[in-house]
Amino acid sequence: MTAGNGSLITLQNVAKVFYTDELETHALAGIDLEIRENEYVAIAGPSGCGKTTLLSILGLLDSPSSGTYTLAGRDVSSLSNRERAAVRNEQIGFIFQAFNLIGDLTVAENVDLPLSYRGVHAAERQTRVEEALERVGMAHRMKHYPSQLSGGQQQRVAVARAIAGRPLILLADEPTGNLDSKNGGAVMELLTELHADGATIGMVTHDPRYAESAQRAVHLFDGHVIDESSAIYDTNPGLAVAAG
Amino acid sequence: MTTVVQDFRYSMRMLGKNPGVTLIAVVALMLGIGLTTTMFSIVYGALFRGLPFEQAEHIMHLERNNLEDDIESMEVTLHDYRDWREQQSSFTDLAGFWQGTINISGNEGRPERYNGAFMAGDPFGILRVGALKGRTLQPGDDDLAAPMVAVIGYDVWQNRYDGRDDAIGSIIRVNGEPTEIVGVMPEGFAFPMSEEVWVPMRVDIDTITRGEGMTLEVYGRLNAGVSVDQAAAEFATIANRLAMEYPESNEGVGAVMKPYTEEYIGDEVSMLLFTMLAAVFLVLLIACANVANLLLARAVQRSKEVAVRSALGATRARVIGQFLTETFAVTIVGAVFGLAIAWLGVRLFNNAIVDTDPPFWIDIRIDLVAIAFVMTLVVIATVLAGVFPAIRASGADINEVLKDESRGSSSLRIGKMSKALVTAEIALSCGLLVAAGLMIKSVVQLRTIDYAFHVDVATARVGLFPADYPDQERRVQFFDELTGRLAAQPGVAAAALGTALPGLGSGGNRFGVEGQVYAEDSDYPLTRWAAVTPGYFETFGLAVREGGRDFTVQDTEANLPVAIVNETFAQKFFPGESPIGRRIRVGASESEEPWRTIVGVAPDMMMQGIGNNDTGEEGIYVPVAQEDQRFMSIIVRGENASMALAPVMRDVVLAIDPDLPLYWVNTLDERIAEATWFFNVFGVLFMVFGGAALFLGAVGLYGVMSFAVTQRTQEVGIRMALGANHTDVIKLIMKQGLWQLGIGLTAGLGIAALLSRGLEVVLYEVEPWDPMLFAFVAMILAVAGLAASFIPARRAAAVDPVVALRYE
Repeated sequence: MTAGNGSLITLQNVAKVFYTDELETHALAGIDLEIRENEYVAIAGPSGCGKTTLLSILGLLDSPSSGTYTLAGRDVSSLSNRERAAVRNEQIGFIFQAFNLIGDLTVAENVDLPLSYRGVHAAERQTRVEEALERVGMAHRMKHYPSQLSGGQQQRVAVARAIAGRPLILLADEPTGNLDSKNGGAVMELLTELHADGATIGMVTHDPRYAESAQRAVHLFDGHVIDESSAIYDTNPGLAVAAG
Repeated sequence: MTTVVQDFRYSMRMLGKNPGVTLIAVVALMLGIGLTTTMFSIVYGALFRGLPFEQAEHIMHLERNNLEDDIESMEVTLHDYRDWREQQSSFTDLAGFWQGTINISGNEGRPERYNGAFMAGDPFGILRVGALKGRTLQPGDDDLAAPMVAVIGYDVWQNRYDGRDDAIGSIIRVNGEPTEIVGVMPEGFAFPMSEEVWVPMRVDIDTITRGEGMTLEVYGRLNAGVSVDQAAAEFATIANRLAMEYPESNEGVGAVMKPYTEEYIGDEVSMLLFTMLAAVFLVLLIACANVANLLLARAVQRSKEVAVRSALGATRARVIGQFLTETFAVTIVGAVFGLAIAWLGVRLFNNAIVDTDPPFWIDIRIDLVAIAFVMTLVVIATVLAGVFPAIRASGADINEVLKDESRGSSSLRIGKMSKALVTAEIALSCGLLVAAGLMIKSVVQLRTIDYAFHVDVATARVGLFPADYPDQERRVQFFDELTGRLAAQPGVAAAALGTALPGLGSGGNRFGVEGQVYAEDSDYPLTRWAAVTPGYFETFGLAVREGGRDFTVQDTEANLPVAIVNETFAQKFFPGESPIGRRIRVGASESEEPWRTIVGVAPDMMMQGIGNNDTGEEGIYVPVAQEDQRFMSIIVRGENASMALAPVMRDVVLAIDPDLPLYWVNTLDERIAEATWFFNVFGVLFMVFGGAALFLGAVGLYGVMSFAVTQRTQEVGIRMALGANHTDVIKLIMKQGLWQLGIGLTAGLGIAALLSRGLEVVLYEVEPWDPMLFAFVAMILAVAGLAASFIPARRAAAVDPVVALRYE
């Protein structure tokens, strides 16, 4: 489900301004960005550069102050809250730095959550939950609670939750930020495998090592795209980022 | 000590920093403690303060029973009183009395009617009370040959004699007999209940057959060292002895004794008061649960502070102490305001019952006992509201809290506690609201009674005594003259007399229908009974049904004994046929009453009295001229406002007999309102309790839901990121509230069923288990609960997911 030219996400001249008391903070300014289907893009930069804000806009958790955002050929810049929720639910999968599993729900129930909001039939939901957990190697902990899992395991469950709904794109916000290097490496490996299987991924990271594992990296500084790294995978040229 | 002061100071600072939480907690405790103290003061004043005499706990009330005949309580015959007094040694002495009207007339003012007591034995000596002026009644005053004397109450002395000393020794007419005033009792003394004048009881016992004649209330003071059980054992022996000696009158008759005041409050009222005390404790529990919840929420917010304190060396006991000190500080503030509420509540209650002539020893006030009670409540409330939060807050894993990794799991545990507390609140609120609803419905029923008769008629009471009216002929003559003169007054539309007034209850008796066979005396049916003059029904705007007739002046002692029955009577005892011409007789098998021919059927006029659920509506009327009566109610219906005729009524009575006082001068609806004060006062009390419970329950649920939403902000963010929309979030939050509501309501309806049983005595035309009311209360609480859940749920749904995901 692309715009027809292979472009899944297109941001044009997107800006985000935060107002606090008398202060006006430009978190993002003149961002143009395109992410193609099955592309793996890293959004990198130092703390406070606007990475997470950009990811929030991409994930429809936030809306741009100006500019347009086209997702799968549809302008999603000015949707209602209800429409945005539906788009998030059906087309976007989130992976958070802090895992953000719900402590009161079991592993299976956590993974089932986006499907339940979508109104998928119970039998199909169960199949999809099992498949997703199988995919991340956590099917054996289905009935456990998050507190019974290690950090690495919790993040794998979070990945399963993100992919269970078969979204158009996975958005990962510092997915290794709360993990040690071993578990961090395992999660990155999992994302690479998912990409290899056809997933489109947008990942925010401040770690250059992990940024390099993506096909391309977009570097932000003070809300502007200042650079883009070389494509690592020549087979999938999708880079179309320009500084605003 | 320094630590306590330091903790207290810190507590006050924390309270000041959280004014919202502090305000809610103080208001909750103020309501809980205030209402509980009000009710405690009422219960203590009515049931436990006792007689205001020296060692009053030793003063016992004595009466008789006959369990073989299912009679649990009988007054004491003169012969039994005399024998008990002579044969017993458990009491210092016994005295007896009966209460009745005392009419006083004389030169010092117009005739007045007072509540009087006719006393036997050494009544004041047993009480150990002396006169304020002059002397009390003494042994010997009741000798038939002794000059007639009276002791008057303080208010009578002040109002009739302006407090003059020469009242002592003055001669007045008491019930028509010349009597010397020999003493004035101290202010507030109104023994046995609310009496104002005391005269010796003078009866020649030798002229009375044993087991017959008047009966007495008896009391005595236990000798030092004698227990109630020992006294009871002695009286059982005496009763057995009398039963053997006088089987005709005493077989099966036993003696019963109890603390004096218990006799006059009654089991039903005691049960009602204890039910209300229990109910108001529920309000306090709800308040404590509310405060506990607020403190639990604060404990979670302060878990890091507690962890830091612990890391710095504070013991768990020290942390618990800190939290309890904070709770104590809130409770003390709530108690101070609560005491003010109690003061106001007691004042309002006393005002509400001031016209109901309560027993003189009932003394409801905020005193040291009430303050001690409040201090006890402060301790209880501190423990109830503070211990759980303190234990929870102090029990967290310091390491995890400091690493900020356990927030989810620890908050979950506290969340369960909060949910349990608020569920209990809903249950208790439900119970109280049902009770309040039953009372409100009773009061509404009372206030919206559609009377079939005029209640705006003017009424008054008059009593004739043998000294001036020695026989039936003189009395009937007086009543005839009174009726005739009243009817002839300008502005009077109708006038009549009757021994009873509609809605206020009438005497009852067994009766038989001619031709019916009754195996036992107990098979004779019961009916209400009243003697009335011709025109009684017309005065109330009613008429005897077609086919029958009203009484006439020809229905005298010399003519055919007649009766009029009411419609319920006719339908119950003469179903499908006319009772006109049939004969009935008051009394059972050995009745010496005449057979009366039924001459008419009158409409039902609430003869059983409003609020009396014990007997049916059936009743009979007999002519005053055929039934010797000394006391009579006057009923006058005016062409305009009936009460404008009150002076006319008084003038007419005085014109016939200048010594005869007129009393209880009111409209009928005022008399009914006085008679049903019980419903109104206790109805209002329950309404207040129910209102407080509803308010506290809703605030509690709102508080918990609000806290839950705050705790779940991040979760809401996650869910929204995963696609949950506003409706999903509102559903999620409200689901939690609905569960609590459902469980709370189920348990609450059980509590309500228990409470409503204790209220049966004060319900008017309302079923204690009224299903509509139960459903209505459940609905009210559900609406309040849903609103309390919806507001935080909507707040949760409005959270910006980006902010929520960052929330810690």
